[in-house]
Amino acid sequence: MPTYELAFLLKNMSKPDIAVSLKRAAQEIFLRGGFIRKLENLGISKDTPYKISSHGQVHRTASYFALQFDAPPTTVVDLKDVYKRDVDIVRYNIFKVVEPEKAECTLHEEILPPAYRKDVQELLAESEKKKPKQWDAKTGLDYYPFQR
Amino acid sequence: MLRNLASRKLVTRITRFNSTRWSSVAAPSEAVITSFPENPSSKSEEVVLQKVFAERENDLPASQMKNPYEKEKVKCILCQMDISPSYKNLRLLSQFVSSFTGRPYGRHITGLCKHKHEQVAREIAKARSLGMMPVMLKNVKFLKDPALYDPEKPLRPHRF
Repeated sequence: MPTYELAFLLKNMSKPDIAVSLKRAAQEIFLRGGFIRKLENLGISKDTPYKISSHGQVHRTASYFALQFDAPPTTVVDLKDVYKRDVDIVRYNIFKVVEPEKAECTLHEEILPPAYRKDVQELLAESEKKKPKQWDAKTGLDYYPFQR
Repeated sequence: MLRNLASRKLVTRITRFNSTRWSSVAAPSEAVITSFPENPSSKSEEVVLQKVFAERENDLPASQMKNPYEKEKVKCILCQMDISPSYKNLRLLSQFVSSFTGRPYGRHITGLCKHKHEQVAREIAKARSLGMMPVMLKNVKFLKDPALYDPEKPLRPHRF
């Protein structure tokens, strides 16, 4: 089963109420055949960066959590639906936990002047391909012989 | 007769200075030439060439050696530290955001490689949509964080 991360905000409540909401959120995962890896507390009763309105209420403080779990991929849509209906959850999103791609730093190529950069050279090559062929008069002259 | 006179003169001169210093040196008349150095032109060309090549082998450049003048490749700050940005690490993301507008700076200002810049941009979008990171401004707590770059001196000039 792939690993997902549910990052969500709970509205401003007392600690026992927060515990109840967390349990409810976790229970939904278990009901759908999932397993929880960890539950991170990213801050309780923190000021939100901007006003958030949800379920007809405006919130200026919230508690931040991140729940990492394994679940069948088909259940993710159902979970999103459930959390959408939960009044205590102010905002949420489910991401797939993927190890960040390991790529070599290409800064030394990007710093080069434009003529030496690979992407610029590729662009120039593409534009040359698309150029329509100029009609060749085959006069053998390098100038236009008539008065325009 | 003349020769004896000359040698006598030499002896007197020596005794004025430290005689022990000069005692080990043989007088020119006693020197004997035992052998001459080999004349290479007297041997055949092939033998000479073989000798030259044999001596030259030690002087050839090591072809397996890396270029010693190769410059170290410039790396962006996140690749140097091997850091992957995360939407939970708001402080790191805020370092690449303008303190005036709250918008992320371009690559020519932050000095990040394309790969890392795109990661940072993606994580900023995630954090903003989740209600963790402000949109129109930079978090006040992070305003005095150390600067990783100078927005007034970008790598290439910008219109602003």
